[in-house]
Parts: sequence; C-alpha cells; structure tokens
Amino acid sequence: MSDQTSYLGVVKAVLLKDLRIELRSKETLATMGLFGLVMTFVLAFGFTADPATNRKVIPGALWTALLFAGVLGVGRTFAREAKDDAFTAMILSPAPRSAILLAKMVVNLLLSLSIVALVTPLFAVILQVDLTGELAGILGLLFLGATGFAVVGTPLAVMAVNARFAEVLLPMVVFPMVTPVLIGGVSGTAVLLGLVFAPDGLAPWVQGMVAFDVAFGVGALFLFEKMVTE
Amino acid sequence: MTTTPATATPASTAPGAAATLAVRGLGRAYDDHYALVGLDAEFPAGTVTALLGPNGAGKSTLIGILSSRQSPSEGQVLFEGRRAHGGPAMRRRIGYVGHRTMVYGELTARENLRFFAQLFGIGDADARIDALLDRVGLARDKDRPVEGFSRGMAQRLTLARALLPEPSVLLLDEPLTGLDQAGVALALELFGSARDRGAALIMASHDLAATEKVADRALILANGRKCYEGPVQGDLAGLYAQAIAGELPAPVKGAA
Repeated sequence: MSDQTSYLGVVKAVLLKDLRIELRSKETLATMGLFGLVMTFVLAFGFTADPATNRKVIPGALWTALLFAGVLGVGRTFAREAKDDAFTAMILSPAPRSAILLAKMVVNLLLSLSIVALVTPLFAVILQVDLTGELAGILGLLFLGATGFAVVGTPLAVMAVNARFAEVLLPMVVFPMVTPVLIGGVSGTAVLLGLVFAPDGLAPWVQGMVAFDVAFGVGALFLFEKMVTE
Repeated sequence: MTTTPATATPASTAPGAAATLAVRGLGRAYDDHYALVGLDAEFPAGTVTALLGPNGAGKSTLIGILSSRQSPSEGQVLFEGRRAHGGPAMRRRIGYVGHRTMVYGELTARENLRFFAQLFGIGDADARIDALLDRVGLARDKDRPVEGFSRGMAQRLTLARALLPEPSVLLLDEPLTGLDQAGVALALELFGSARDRGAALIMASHDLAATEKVADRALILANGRKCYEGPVQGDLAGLYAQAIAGELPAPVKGAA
C-alpha cells in the first residue's frame, strides 16, 4: 500500500468533519450562542441607560462573554469526541497528532469567532454604544483573544475529556491560564475606546497577546504527542 | 511497507524477530498495583491469539500498550523484530476495535469510513469503502447517520473501520459486543480472512465459544501475569479453567 497521510490533508479532514457535524447538530453553536445572548441581556440589565457609562463597561462585558462562551464551546466539542470514543480511533491512526490538534484548535477558534460576530454588535446595540470607529481594532483583539483561548483550551480539553467532572474541571484549569490574554484583551479594548491613558498605544497589548498565542500554540503542538499517551 | 528508523530501532532480543508483534518483560504500574508484570509473549503473523483472563487480568492494558495508546512502565514492544515506539509507520499497520464503537453518530457510515480513510492517507478509498460496507452488511444503510443504527450495526461499522487500512495487526478488545448470531459469524469470518492474508490478530473476548472457532493460539493472563501461552487444541474453556486455576496472587506495588 503506498498510502500517505499528509499534514494539511489531516488538518482539512478533521476540520471538515467537525464543521459537518456541527452544521448538522448545531449543538455547540446553539449552546454557545444562547449562552452569549443570555449573558448579553443579563449584563445589559445591570447597566445604566447612559451610553457614556456603558462605553466604560464594554471591554469587561465583551471579554467576559467571550471567555464563558469559549470554555463552553471547547468542552462541548470534546464531549462529542468522548461520546463513543472516536477520538481514540483518530489518534491511533497514522495521522500526525499535532495536525489533529491544530484542526481542533481551528474549529474552536471558528466557533468562538462566530460568537464574537453575534455578541459584539448586540452589545453595541443594547448598550447604545457606537463602536463603528473602533470596530476593526476590537475585532482584531477579539481574534487574538479567541486564538489564545483556542490554543490553551483545546489541549486542556483533550486531557480533561475522560476525567470525572470534566465540565467543572476544564474552566477551573483554563481560566487562570488565559488570564494574560484576557488582561491584554480588556486593556487593549479600553485603549481603543479611549478609556485609559496609554502613552505606548495599543502595541504592547497586541504584542503580548501575539506572543502568548504563538508560545502556547507551538508548545501545545509539540507536546500533544505526550498528552495523548497514557 | 517497512517500519522507518524514526519509529523503530533494532531489537536487542532476537526471539521476537519471527513474530509480527512481541512483548518482552512488559510491565505496567498504576498508583497502587501492577496491571502487567514481566510479560513475554509473541503474536505471529497469520494467527489469531485469544487473549483471555478474568476481569482485571491486564488484557485491556496489554491491548492499550500494543496499540500505543498507553505506554509501558517497563519492557518493550517489538514490531517485526524491532523495538516499537508507536510512531505513524506502526500505527498505519494496526487496526483497533475497542469497547466502544469509536465512530461519529452524526456522520453516515460512509462518511465515517471516508474520514478514517483520509487519516490513514488511503487514496481513492470509495471503492474499498463500498466493498467493505457491503461485506459487513451495511450496504443499504451506508448513507444513514450512525446515531440511528442499532448497537450491532454500529459494531459492524466499527469492524469495517478497523479493517479499512488492511492492517497487519488487528487488536480486538471485545469485538463481538452487541452482535447478534449472524453478526458474530460475520465477524469471525472477517477475522479468519484477515488471518489468511497474514495479519496477526489479538482478540480479547469473554465469549469463549465464539473465540474458540477462530483462535489458533491463546495467551491467558491472571493478575497481570501470564498463565498460559501456546496453541489452542480442543476445548478453550477447559484450557482457560486449567490455566487460571494455578494463578499467582495479585502483585501489589511496594510489596517484596
């Protein structure tokens, strides 16, 4: 047999498989989307009707929604893999294991970004805050944040998938680890909205988030082989 | 296809060289006990080895180590006479059936096999997939989502998934789970065919009557130790009872 398993072929296969399953079941997107919506309304009820005040709370509210919806999504995507243990069949194939992880990271990133696309405009409308001038920058920061969340949350979800109380354990492990990216995101958003004095502008926060994403992403891809061997 | 130097190094012990798969001094420790202790065994090409033992004997641990899902605490696995590290070249040649179905319920039978064919890098797999689905009796259901399948149908698909890459080693951990009589007969026929084309099959099952029909050899474990390894001649149940009658006490970690 002259069959070969290409790295990009595996990434594409796992990615398309997960997207096909998600489009059919809509389970993870519905869970994350509903959670994002509920969170948006709950937070909106707690704020004043004054757009100027609301503008000050937008960074925290937006990133909190992303954080909680993100961890929910990461947990769901691996609960599906654990259900009939298809994940084991996947990692026992000759496919490069890091390619499988990379594909799962991209899936989780796409899910988080779809929630960002839903929640960000909703926050702006409900809180009556005009974000049009800063929208591109905020979306850029959210992309970096969602990436950081995916590169940390995905390998941890793999490790927690067969653990008891995985749904409780995962947030407890993920939240502290993504704190740097959360701080960068909230602070960067505040800088963009002109809420804080920042002589160096946005650059330090962006650089920090990029460094976090690269370090954790590359580290996870290298260590994944060990992570999946009991 | 041969194993590459990146995933296999020459074995230091010659006896395993003839077997497709062999283990030497294999041990696996958990927190407070050993699941396997100093196990030596061989799994020659073109044979079906019945892996037997009471619950907790170490059967699933052995299969987990042979599959590369678990790592041994001591000893080594030899694949075609070379020390195996569970790399892609070795994984490409191993088929695995575990306790659960290991397929995606939201995908159809054909989509599941196409996905695993991509992971194994099998080009133009459609004809092979259709032939396999036909062989396991799922031709009419190939475009139905697996979540609508009965347990037996899902198990037939699991067998097709494991056989898809035409593996030279087939690890079968309770492969008859959920199968009706016709399904069991089909599974034994598939295992026989795999053996006839030279594969080494290792089959753990509590269904001794069915296992007896296909097994050439037996490896019987109790408390992580080998009680018997050799040919199956006649009554497998009798051989099993005789082997575990003289079982050694469970090894406890830290004990002298």
